[in-house]
Amino acid sequence: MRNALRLALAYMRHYKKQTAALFVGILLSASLLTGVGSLFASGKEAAKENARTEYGDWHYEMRCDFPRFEEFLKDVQESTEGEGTILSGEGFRLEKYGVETVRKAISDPFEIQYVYGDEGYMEIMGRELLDGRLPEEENEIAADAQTLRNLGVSDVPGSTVELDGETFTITGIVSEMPEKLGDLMGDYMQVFVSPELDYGRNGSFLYLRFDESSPVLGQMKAFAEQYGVDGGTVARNNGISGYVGAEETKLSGEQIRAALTDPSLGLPWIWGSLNENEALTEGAVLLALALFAAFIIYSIFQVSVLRRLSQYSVMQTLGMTDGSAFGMLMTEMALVLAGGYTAGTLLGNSAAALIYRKVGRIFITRNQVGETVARHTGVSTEETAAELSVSALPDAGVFHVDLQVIWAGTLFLILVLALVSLVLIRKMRKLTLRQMITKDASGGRRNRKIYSLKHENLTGVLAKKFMFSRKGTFIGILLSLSVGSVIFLGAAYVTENTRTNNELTFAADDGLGSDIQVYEESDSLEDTIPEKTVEALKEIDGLESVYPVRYMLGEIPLYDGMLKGTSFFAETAGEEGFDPDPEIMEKYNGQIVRTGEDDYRLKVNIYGYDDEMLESLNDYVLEGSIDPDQMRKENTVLFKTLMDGQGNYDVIDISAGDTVQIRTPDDPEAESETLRFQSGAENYRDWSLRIGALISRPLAKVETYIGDDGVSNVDIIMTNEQMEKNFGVTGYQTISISLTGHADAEGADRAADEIRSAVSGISRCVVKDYTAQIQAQNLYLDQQIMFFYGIAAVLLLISLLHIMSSMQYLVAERRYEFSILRAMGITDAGFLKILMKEGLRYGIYSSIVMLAVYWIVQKVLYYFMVHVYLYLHPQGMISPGYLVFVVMLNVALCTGAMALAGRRQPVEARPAE
Amino acid sequence: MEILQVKQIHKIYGEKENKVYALRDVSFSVEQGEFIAIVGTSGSGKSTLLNLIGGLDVPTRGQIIIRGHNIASLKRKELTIFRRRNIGFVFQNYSLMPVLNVYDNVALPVTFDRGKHVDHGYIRELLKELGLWEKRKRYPNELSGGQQQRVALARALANKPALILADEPTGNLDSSTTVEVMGLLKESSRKYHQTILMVTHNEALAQACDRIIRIEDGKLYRSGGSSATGTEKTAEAPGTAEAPGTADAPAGKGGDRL
Repeated sequence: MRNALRLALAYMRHYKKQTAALFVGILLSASLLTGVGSLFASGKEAAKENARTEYGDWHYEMRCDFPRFEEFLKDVQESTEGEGTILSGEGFRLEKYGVETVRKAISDPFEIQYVYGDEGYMEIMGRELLDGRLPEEENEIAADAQTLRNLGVSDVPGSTVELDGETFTITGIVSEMPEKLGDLMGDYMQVFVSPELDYGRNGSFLYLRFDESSPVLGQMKAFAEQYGVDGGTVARNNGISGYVGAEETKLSGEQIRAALTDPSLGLPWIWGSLNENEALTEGAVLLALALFAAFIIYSIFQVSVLRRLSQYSVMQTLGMTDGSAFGMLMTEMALVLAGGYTAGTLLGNSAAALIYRKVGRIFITRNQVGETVARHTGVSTEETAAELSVSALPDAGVFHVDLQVIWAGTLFLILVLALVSLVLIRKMRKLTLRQMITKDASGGRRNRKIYSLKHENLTGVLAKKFMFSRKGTFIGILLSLSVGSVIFLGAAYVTENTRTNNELTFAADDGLGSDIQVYEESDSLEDTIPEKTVEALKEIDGLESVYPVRYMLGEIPLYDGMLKGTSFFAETAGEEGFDPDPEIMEKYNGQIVRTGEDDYRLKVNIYGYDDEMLESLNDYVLEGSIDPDQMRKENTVLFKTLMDGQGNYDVIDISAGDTVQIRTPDDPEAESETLRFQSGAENYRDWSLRIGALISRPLAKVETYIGDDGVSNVDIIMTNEQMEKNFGVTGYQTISISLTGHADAEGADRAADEIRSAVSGISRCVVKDYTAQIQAQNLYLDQQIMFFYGIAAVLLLISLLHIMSSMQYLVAERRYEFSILRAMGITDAGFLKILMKEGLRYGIYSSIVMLAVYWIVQKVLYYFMVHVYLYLHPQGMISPGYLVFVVMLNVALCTGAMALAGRRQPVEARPAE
Repeated sequence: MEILQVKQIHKIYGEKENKVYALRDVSFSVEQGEFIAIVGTSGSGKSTLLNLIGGLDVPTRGQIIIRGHNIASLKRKELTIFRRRNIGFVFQNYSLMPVLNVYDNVALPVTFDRGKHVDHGYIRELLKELGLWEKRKRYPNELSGGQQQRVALARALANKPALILADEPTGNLDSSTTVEVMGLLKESSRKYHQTILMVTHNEALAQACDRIIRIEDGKLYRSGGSSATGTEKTAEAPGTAEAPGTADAPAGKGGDRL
């Protein structure tokens, strides 16, 4: 061991450049791996903490009527646990519990529950007492300010409120209930009552929070076992379950097999099921980085070892065993690894901490952020707008160093080192054997051509011969040269499409990314913004565009199996827990009605856009083309179709060129009863309109009727003129307005004020200013994209280092041949020419390999973007600019690195020495 | 015609206390067509001398004049071109390009000269002369040591240089092949009127040359009654013109002195 250490140190000192290259390779790889790992971990931690605030700090909930509930309370009382744990049992550690007792529930004027929550419950749900005290008497309540405002009561202790015929005095104001708890428990308001108030119909619920250092599902099972809880009655906090191991491991082998054979599920479904909170995606990214690091380390170290192969062979001749050689290599790499990895971890995490402090929000798991940030709809409430402001973006929290990734990375790289050492030892052995073989039996397949007969200059021939003399090495070098570029291109390709997807989603969600929206907050076709108001708006200074949208509700028949996925709509899916929206059922008789075996009638939103908006829809065309003039002339329409969970647009069997039957109310201002499409036939008109193009998203939308999230509704889009001509619709439901250039906040305020005054007399017309939110959103997306590019750039940097190292190796390996050439009288320029020719060839060949490998990688990425991440219109091919850039960079680097390596050769070489 | 003049050459490696005097005040000259052996023990400085003459190394002091050109005064590129046009090398380890076949190895130095066409007739003649024509498509590692050295010799001759410098050309060969290669060297010297300087430590081989230059501890060998310049004519000298400054060199075998 001491001997190995001594030799390893000696080699490191002697081969300073190679050691430095290896050190820098490890340092950069480690900093990338651990830095990105920590960023992901910090994002996840922040998402978890945000989820805790949004859903409450609990893991499971159950009714308190399980057999040993009293025993549980007694155990807690008697427990002597300290340090955060209140009760430990066989296989679980409970940190918090709370009991909520629902005394009464009323539905008028709102859905309100009278709740008594013990101290634990209040803490778990974050219901802090902000003012006054909690109720003590039967006629006392405490509630949050929002609830009191909804009830029309001032939010100060001492006020009184009448609920269900009883008068209560408000004793205290508490903080609001977790924002998204309603998603889990159903929307209702809570008022807190005293323990004294009892209507005799109590329902008590126990909330549990376990120790999160081990998966909580196992702890819940142990808890249920110990206290006789029926697992079927336990509810899970889905908001944070993904972060704390509260769910069953999703898929069995059987399920995976079944999914793979079912075309409607397939890989996207498996990936989606396993990819809770992006864990799989992040894992895949980290694995890719780790493999890249391993590859780089192998490649650089191999170069270093191959350069001194002769010395090893001498040592082996002198009696060094394979074991000792392995020990020596391993020691040398371990020494460099220890330094490089430690420094890399420090560097990576310091950089990551800085990045996180600046743009931490972009790492918060997308499904958390997506709900509140990535979308904002054209028609929404003030609350939605508030949620979208910069301050309401999820809190990135503090930076966490991901020790798990650091240790896993260390272990992984140590294994890689052992493997690399073994491979190199094997290579050495093989080489000796091969050398012997080539000496004896080299004839046969060699090229016997005499080149000097046809070539006046043999330098090109030599460069070619040098490259192909060892095919294995040649292929290895080509592959290794192309790997970095392929990863860079892959990252750039995904980034490019992410940017497009973000832009398209953003534009589709709010109607062209409009700064200001004017819309009717009404579900009556009578309420519209008149034409003359639109004209007045267009006159306002500082507005770049005013896009008015006409609206009509319609119904289309989907007969004879035209609708392929009945599970798409709650009305036809028949799945438990996937219930139709009661409001839509009541007002419009549901989204879809089944009329026969394979026959359905579907409600659709019919929009009239102006020409510029229609032109913008070209980005979303799936089939056909958009030409507003032709649409007017031939009365053709655009059909916004449905997409399934795998990104396929074949839920409805319809294409561009087909004719769609549309039924609309005869009266453009039809009353609400007519919108159920159940009145007499005389109230409706049927239209046969040809589909000019199939599109994936609408732009501006109207959500106040059957709703429109841009994805799960069918929309028929035509010109505003067609809306008037066909249906007699003259007023507008929504107007998307963009401000000129980069209007500042003051300009936006002024424009919004002028717009407000222009629409002031119109019933239920609302003006919403999204300028600040759009800025916040753009900033967020830009930061995300910059980060992707940053990672891609570091990867490129590492692969550049690798290219330099490989080229140096190639020159060093040819030292003998080059020295002969020098002695034969080749000039410096001639020598440089040979080297550059070889470098150029490496650049070209590695670019060809890179393009071939990248082509496959791109196919895989495209599949994932389309079918798993449901990207909008991803490009099948990366921008050619990237390819040209990488090819040129590859060629320039290989040539440059080769020439540079050649310059370091001795001034004159003496082959005889 | 005098083709090479070595004038008061010194070569010192290292500095201060690490100074090593590889050559001290070495002077001699060579006539065209001479086949000269440079003899000395290991470390005596004979290879250093050859490297200096070949322009592979630079003397610390003194001048080396080949065909009237002081090679120390040539610029790097001029020297390279001068070397490939005027000097051919034959090394102990053959130094053939493993990736090229026999023919291309021989033609290689000629192809470095842009615009200079390869004289294929001459190369064919050389290869036939050296018994390599049948093996012209073979690669170096498919040849015996003797054959490889013959290729190296052909390559050295390909550019019709003024001077061939052979550093222990038979050092890696068995005795019969050594005889064969020496015969070829002598034959080349005679046929092409080629000047050859051969470094060897084999006294018998040296005796086969026209003249012997002995070198010891970096200096031309002198002993009582011997040449003031350390050179001597061999008994078998084929009547070549005596080099200037060697007139007083005694004829006879010099091996006894070693």
